[in-house]
Amino acid sequence: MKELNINRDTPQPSDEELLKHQNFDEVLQKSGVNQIDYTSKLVSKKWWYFGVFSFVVLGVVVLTINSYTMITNENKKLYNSDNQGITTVEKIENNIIAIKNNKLTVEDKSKTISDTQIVLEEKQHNIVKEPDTDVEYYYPKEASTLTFKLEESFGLKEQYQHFEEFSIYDNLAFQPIGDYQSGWLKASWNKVELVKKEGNYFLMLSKNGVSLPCQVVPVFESEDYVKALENYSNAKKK
Amino acid sequence: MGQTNSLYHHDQSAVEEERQWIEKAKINPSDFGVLYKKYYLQIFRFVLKRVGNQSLSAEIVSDVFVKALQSITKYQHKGYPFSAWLFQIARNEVNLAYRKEKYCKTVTVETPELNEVLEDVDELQHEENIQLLLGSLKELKPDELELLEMRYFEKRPFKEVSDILEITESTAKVRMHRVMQKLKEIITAK
Repeated sequence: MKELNINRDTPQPSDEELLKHQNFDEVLQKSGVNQIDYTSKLVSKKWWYFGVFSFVVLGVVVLTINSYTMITNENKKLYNSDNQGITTVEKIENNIIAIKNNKLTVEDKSKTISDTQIVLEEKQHNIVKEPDTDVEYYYPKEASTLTFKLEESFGLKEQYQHFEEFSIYDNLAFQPIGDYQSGWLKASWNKVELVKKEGNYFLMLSKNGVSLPCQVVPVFESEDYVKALENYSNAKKK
Repeated sequence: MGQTNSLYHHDQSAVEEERQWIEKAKINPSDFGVLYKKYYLQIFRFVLKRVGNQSLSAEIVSDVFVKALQSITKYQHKGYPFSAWLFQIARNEVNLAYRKEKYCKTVTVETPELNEVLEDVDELQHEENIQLLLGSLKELKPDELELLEMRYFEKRPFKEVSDILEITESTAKVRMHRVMQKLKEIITAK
């Protein structure tokens, strides 16, 4: 220890003497705080809590609205797809993934035919177009296994005749690719649409707002195959 | 040991009343005046005993309350009285002034208290031993002397000592025991 002063038995100053130094105003002044500062500190603290709370609430509300909108949009998309048909490969791929994950199942085998489909069938014409020299026609393939045979035609003939490559054919059938897809043929559907994407053909099977893409190969069965080959060679000659 | 600092012992109503004043002071600094008046003398004497100079002590005490007022919004009851918190600030301010060499380290002591120490170290209470004891105080470390001051010269209970030094009561007791052993060894050796 540096140096130590020892005050032994020295008389201590009285309370009155010490209290002469008491000056609370000086302490207040030196501290540099006043009521406004204190209040503002407390208020700012409260506002800080309020701000954080408001931000959290706002975040929750925005997320809720966002997720609700997303759900609504998804439903809308499905609804639209049911009415207008899915034409993009992204949707097809998404549905394939969903199927593989067993998220979508179709078990209802009740048979319902929409009015539109009936009208389509009524309007269906058995007309084969004259061959066009600029068109590259589809080379006929013979059906090897199960083809896509439905009790209803779903206007498929009219649909495939809109494709130029099929325009010279009659009695075109569709053979599913993949074992898991063949089971779908046993189910009944409200709507079936033929879609072509990047050289591949898909039948969009729709029911109760759910659309499943079934990749298919256009084929001809026995007698139809022979006739199709004839049509093809004639078209080539021209 | 005989008499202890009775001011440290509050009943529940006094503790509650004090807490209310602290909460008021957090909102309105003018309300801190009540606490300032209540503890002014205790803090002043605590400082004066260590500094030895009245005007310098008054200056340090003023700084103690300024610091306390500036920090009152952060004060939270941690299980020890508000006075212990003020003594902690006072202790820091005294040490700060000492480091700035504003004063020479001072111990204020009464003969009966020195006799009490001699009694506790099993030495005879006569002037020769008192002189030996006073001489041995210089050989103690600052924290050892601080403990001796609080316990014997200021009659603070171990609870209060431990609160001010922010250590446990048992640690304070163990340290005190070692200080007494050291004093005994120094006195015996002389």
